[in-house]
Amino acid sequence: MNIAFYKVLPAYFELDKLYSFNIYFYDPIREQRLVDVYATTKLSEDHFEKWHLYITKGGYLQIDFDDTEIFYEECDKDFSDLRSANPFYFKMLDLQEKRILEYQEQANATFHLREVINNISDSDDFKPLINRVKSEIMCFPLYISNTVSICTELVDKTFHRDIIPVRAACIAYVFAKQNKIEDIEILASLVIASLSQNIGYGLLNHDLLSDYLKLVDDDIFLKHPMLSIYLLSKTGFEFDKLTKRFILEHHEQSDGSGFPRGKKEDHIHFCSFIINLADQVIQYSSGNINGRKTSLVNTIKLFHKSIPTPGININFPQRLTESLRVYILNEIEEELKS
Amino acid sequence: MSKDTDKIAIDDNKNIEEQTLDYSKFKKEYRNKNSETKNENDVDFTKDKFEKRLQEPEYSFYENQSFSLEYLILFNDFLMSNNLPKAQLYKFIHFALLNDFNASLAIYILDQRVEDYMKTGFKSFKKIYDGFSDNKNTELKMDIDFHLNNNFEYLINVKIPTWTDETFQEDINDFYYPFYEEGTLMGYGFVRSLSQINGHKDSSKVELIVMSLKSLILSEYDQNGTSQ
Repeated sequence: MNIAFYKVLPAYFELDKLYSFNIYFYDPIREQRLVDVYATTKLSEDHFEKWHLYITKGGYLQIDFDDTEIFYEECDKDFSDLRSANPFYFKMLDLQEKRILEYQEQANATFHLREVINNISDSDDFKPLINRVKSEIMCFPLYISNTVSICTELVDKTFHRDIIPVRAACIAYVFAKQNKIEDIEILASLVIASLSQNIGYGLLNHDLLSDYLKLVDDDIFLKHPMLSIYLLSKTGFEFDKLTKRFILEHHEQSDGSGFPRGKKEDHIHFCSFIINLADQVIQYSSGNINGRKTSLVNTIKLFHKSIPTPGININFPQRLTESLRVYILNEIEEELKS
Repeated sequence: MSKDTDKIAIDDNKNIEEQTLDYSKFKKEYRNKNSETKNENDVDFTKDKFEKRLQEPEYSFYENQSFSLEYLILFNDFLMSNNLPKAQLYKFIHFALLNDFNASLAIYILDQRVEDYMKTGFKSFKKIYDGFSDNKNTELKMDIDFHLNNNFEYLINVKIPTWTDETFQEDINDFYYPFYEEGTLMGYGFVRSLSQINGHKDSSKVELIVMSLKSLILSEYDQNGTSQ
């Protein structure tokens, strides 16, 4: 996506002068662009008065990207003038370019996910996975939607730490990609939801939070998806419906035994299952559920085989549990050999 | 066809009195006409292209904002971790406010044993975190007990989160956050910011960060505000 028109300021033009390019007016309310002054039209005081009025109403003047060179020449301006007239555009463009420079190489490098998962099982070191997911997300374009831009910023500010929500978000991301979810907006919603699914705990009594099994048994636990959405709403920003849906549904189960609404599989978004599964994989493997650590591969195997285990839910769509096979292929190979 | 060229044509054929028709000229004319119509098409084509160009959407970037959610995500992880003492958790929230808004924090819990705090006054509230007394910033260093005791009338009338300057123009802006649970007052959060709150966008971030303390406040209140 390339810029077609640059914003310019009335001060860049001179009275009674002819310019050999069109000057456009953009009305952001109507999302409409018009030629305001045709090329080789002498600029009069009326033009400047009209422009002043446009600007007070939120509109602005523009020149065509293709006329940039001739604009520099005839207005005696340079790139710095265009930068100062388009500060937000260039600020974001610089940021985007900086991120691409910093992360693209790592995002495109060969990455053996199965090997990394196996290494995590041995060393409990999530950093290679976190760095990889971070580098991919940091290359997301900033012109797609608010959700995508917010996602990149949250990742930038949280993925420097190896903490449970970050681990869960990374696992959710790779599970989603494994299930052919490539849409950047959906992935961004999934990552935001995965990171903030449990922020509602911050409104529950701290004494409850120290014991996960005790917390899960308490009725107030059933409210935490709504509390997380409530906290999101307190930011003053209207998060997109998909992100909120993922958070709201992250404890729903295929058979309808989940909460808060007891939805059944057909009514639950596939990504909500992914977020739920990733969170449980991380919580279980880190020992938060049963008090003892389990290797990541063994935890994934448990969900892949849907083995009933106290403290976890195994009601997931079959295609999701089936997709976990790829992470435990080594184990399966060893089983077959024996 | 110009008269001059006609003359030439006649001169070239002096012996013939009748005017001859030069078909090559007709062909040329025909070709020219064709090319003229082509040019008209070109104009239409350019016009279409121009119209399309005018309708190009504005190149819009979306700002990379996080709304301070990163603090909530980190804080949530700390809350779930059994190892961290409460003092560290308060410090983290203090750090978040200081880092983003050059602000400091104090927290008071109402002692449940006090029957009527309106009568007992400010001493009904127990300070559980003080980010002011040892503050390195001289503008934020103050005796917070003294300050709130003097403003007790104002404090007890704060029923909802309130900024002393809702227009966010004063250099020093105080924020009072009453913690309620089911209609019962449990305590107050007090934040002082030094001209870093530039409108409701920033103020809602501060509110969100202070609100995330509720988990600890509920716990402290249950313990009669006696734990440290």
